Amino acid sequence: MDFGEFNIHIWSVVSATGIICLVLIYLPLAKIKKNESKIKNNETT
Amino acid sequence: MFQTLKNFYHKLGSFPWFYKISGKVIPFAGVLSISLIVISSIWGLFFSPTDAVQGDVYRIIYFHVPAVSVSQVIYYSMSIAAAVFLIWRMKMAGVYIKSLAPIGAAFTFIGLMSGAIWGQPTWGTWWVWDARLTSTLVLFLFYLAIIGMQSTFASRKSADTAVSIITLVGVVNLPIVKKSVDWWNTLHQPASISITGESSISSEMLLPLLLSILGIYLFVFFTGLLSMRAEISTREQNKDWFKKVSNYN
Amino acid sequence: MKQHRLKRLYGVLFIVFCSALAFILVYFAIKDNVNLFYSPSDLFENPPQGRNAIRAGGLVEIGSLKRSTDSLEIAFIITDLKNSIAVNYIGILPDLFKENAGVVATGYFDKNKMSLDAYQILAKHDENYVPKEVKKALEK
Repeated sequence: MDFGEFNIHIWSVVSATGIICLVLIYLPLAKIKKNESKIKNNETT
Repeated sequence: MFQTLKNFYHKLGSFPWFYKISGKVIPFAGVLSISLIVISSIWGLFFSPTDAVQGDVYRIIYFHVPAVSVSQVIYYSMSIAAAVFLIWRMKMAGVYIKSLAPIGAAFTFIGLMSGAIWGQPTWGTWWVWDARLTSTLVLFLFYLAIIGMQSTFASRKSADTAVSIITLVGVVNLPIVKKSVDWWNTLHQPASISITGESSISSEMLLPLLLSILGIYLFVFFTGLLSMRAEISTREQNKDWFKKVSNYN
Repeated sequence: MKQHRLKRLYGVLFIVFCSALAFILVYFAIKDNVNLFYSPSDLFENPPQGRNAIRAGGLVEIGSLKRSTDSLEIAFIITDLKNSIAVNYIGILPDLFKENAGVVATGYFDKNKMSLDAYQILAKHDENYVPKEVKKALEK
């Protein structure tokens, strides 16, 4: 594919895949952080 | 040899051990898988040759094939975990199924969506009810059922048991997905990559495809560990070992 | 393996067996409807009864494609290299439609004339992926 060319079919697949992959990383990371910090708060109070 | 395997199996069942080891492995798996995906995507999108029949739109293959392939492998692995859970009552197997099901569903969805977007310009339709597409949709529905069932039980143990049974019921669908294009007349084409014989895709296009498949498999390994960690951190919140680990971090 | 685990292993196998049986029974019930399309030979041996729309699939016979000069009307022949049927269609064709390539046509079948009045044409892509440059070189 030429760099200047825009193909709507390809780029919609690429962006949707990218977003889903980022969500798959973000959600568990946020959950781990939340659970670990909950413990810390309990300990300090 | 058998003894070391057995030891490993017992360690695998231990939440503190898993939490410690996965914490060390995750950064490497993450960096490696994401860079592989980026490299193979750029290679596939810009540097591999244009297809003679389909033109540039064929490049969707670099996302479609890895996604559907990994979604089937995830389901196979989940059904092994389901058998392990039912036979040995290994809690880690329950954690595995619960954590991997959303990832499998996500990749089945990517497969269906990219297939539809590819089918529109090449076939002339987004969707047909042929055996391959329908059985893949059934796979997606099994994933949704597994995810949905998690929250309908009072105790963790009964949820894990019921989910394991549903997972085993759905495993029969997988050979159908795989073989549908050979058994019946379908609009979907037969497999292009062959392990035993010669692939019907030219090697310049095949190489980035294999790389992207490897990248996605590693990515699932990475996010799988990550969400298993998240699930363990939820289930073991009130255990002493978890409090110790959290305060140490 | 311990006795109670062996029992549970049989339980697991029983679940998979029952589920496989269920899938197989469903398959036998819908056997004739699993195929997306009929090949021309199927249509010759067992012409479909009734007036429902059917799908026919095969290759577009080389040299059979005729386009009308003043409308979107086209006619071609679908073949499976043994038998063939004629197809008439009015409308726009998918990009991949061409002679000697796979096609699936949906429409109403006339068994006296062995022809199909199609209202939808889908192109079937085969499993071959060949770079443009390679194909050009091969055709020279």
